[in-house]
Amino acid sequence: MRHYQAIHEWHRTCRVGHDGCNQTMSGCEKLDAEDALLPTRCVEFQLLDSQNPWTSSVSWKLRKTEGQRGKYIALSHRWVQETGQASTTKENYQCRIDNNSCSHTPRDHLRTRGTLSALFLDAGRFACHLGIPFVWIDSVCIIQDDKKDWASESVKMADYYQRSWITLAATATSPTGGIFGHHNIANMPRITRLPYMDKGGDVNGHFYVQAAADASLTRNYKEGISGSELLGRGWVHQEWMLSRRIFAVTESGLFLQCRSGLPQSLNGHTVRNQNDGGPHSDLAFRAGLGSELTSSSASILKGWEQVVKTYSRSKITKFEQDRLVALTGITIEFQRALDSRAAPRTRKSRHRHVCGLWTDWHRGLLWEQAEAANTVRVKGFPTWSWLSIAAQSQSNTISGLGVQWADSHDRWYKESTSCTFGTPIPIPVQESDWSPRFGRARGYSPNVPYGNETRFNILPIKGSILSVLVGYNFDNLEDIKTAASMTLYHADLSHSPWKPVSLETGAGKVTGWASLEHPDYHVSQARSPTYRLFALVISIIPEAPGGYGLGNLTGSHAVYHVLYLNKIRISGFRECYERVGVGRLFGNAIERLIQDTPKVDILLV
Amino acid sequence: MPQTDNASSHHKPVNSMPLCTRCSHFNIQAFAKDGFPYRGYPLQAVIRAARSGECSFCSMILEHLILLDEDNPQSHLNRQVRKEDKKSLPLPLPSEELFSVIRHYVLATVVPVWVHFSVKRGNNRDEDNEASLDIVEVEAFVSTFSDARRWDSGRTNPIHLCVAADEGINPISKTQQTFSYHSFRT
Repeated sequence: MRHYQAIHEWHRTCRVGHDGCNQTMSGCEKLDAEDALLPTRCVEFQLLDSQNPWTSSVSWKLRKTEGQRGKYIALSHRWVQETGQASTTKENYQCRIDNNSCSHTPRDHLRTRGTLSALFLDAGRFACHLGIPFVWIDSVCIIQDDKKDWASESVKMADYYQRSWITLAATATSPTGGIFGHHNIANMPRITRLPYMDKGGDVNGHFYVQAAADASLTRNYKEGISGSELLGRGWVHQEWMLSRRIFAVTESGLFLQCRSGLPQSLNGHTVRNQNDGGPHSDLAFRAGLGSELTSSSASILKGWEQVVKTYSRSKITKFEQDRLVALTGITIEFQRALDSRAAPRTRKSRHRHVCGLWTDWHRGLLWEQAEAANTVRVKGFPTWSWLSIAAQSQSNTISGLGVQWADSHDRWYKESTSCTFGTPIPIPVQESDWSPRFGRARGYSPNVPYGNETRFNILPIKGSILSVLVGYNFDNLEDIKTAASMTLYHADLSHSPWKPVSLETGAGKVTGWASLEHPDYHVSQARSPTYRLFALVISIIPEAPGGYGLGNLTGSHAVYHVLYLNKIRISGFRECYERVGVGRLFGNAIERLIQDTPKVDILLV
Repeated sequence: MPQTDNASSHHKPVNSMPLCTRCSHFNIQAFAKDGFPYRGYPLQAVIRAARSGECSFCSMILEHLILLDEDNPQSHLNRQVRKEDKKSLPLPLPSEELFSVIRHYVLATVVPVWVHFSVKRGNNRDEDNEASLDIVEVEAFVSTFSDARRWDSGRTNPIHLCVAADEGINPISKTQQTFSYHSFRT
């Protein structure tokens, strides 16, 4: 009882004192967790024996709650086999909504409403003890095999998680699959026994000590939350980021967490935010994720980099199908935030979401591979989007490949864009294999601005293109560091093998570096090829230091941020290129060549 | 109260691993209400007892102190641990950090570094038992002088230990202790 009272007390303190927790992620809408707009459907739970609440079972019904107001709990969980068996489908939907029309005999499976998993029942029990009747569970409240319902509900998930009274995160489950049960004693903070000496100096029993607060709490959080498998799942990203308040269960304890504060135990002891807080600590602590949405457009886009940096590594079961869709909720909030900063007349930002990036955002194109891995192309995404690249294990399993952006230098050096973007051209994709159907592009206009209907776009660009030669590898680490230093690159150099870049007329003189994520360019040393590629100049730092080393009198030189492209042929489209990598160029020869090269219109596919 | 277990693994609920000579003579009475608030052990002795597997209390203290001190590699604790483990860090370049390293080294040479203990008491106003120690928590930290925490930048953050006693022993606080503070059962 006192634990639930502690939760209520914590919730009340948060509601009263934390403005950030009482508004959406974009800051565009105020929220009231006590009187929220309910989702389209919720599962309503009830204790069967109210006289004995702590041992009572629960009954449940699927309710249509659209348009109603009240309190509800959202569940964040990992899909397992039991989840599928408990899901709502077209077959059992009517039965679940209208309980009286159902047969309850197991033989007549078409007309039974099925059972809920131990996890869902525990979530219901948790809600009942808090005095909240409704729980939103994605697999139960969305008709799983109804595409129309799924499309309609998936774009509302952002609102569902943000408006919930609290999100119950099943970061750990008991051996029976539920949340509550016997603890794994091995994971509890250890207790040490010491002798008790009385005033006479005689040992007269024992006393016990156990580490509390900071130390063991931080360790438990790191192992149970930051290092949990749940936080490594793609769909959980938006659930965790959008929820205003989270109640997380681990094998060794429970944590309460809101947008505005550090995670804490039910006793109020807080977890320390550590640099090495576990593989998913960025997401767990939500450090820098979403906090910029109430700032400028530039800060919002910077925040998007952090989102992609953590999300790109995550695992998704239906990788090709869901990789873009699982970001929909966060994307919507970012779009709302950007639009709120647009001119009052239009209330529409020039930055529109397209394939995991944003229009008119040059830096967005300069993402790079952040971890060493065998890469593979993900079908149905354009090559210029980070969504198009994944990691492939030796067993051919596809998983997320982390991407990042190098540090920005706009605080120290003036940087200017060097190309202009046209309006993206949406291309329909075939759902069976996600292949783009270029022949059906004319007149294609997606019905919804998010989701798989918008996953493939051709990007028209006007810019300077140079022909370059990309070698196999730098001779040694010192050369790599020199190339990095000359191009103001300060990120970690260990994750991807850079390749030296030179001009065809340059007699092998290195004028830049390339990081090629395209799978065809990850070849063994034995082959050591040289590639002829094209470099599209995206932006320029005209006065980077180090010019004296190039023989310049001014002491500065120009650095060019480029995309490396390969020309491809697509029927019905001219001047098409695919992205194969990213890098930087420098040197007087490059500068002269760019000045002499007129800008051309190309299509980035 | 969890059952005592003879296993020596620290994964068991109550660690009945042996105690070093020092800890087996741990005198809780030293924290009498009218006495000096700090007691302690030499840090080097705690590290050696923990590393040798000789003492469960030293091992627990050290584990949690190190956990809280991860962000301060030049602290007294981390420097002493590396010394005992025969590992070293290269000296930092001339900078504020190097100055700190030198300052900590000089201070630790002049004043021994200890693990200091202090207690936190409850608000038990039991008039029948004025002798009660009324201890609800023990705090431990590493520093040179026990009361120099504020200016000794090589100190660690304190760890907090919940305290409970066998039934029938009332010198420790009568208020109900909270072990496994963030556990939860329905």
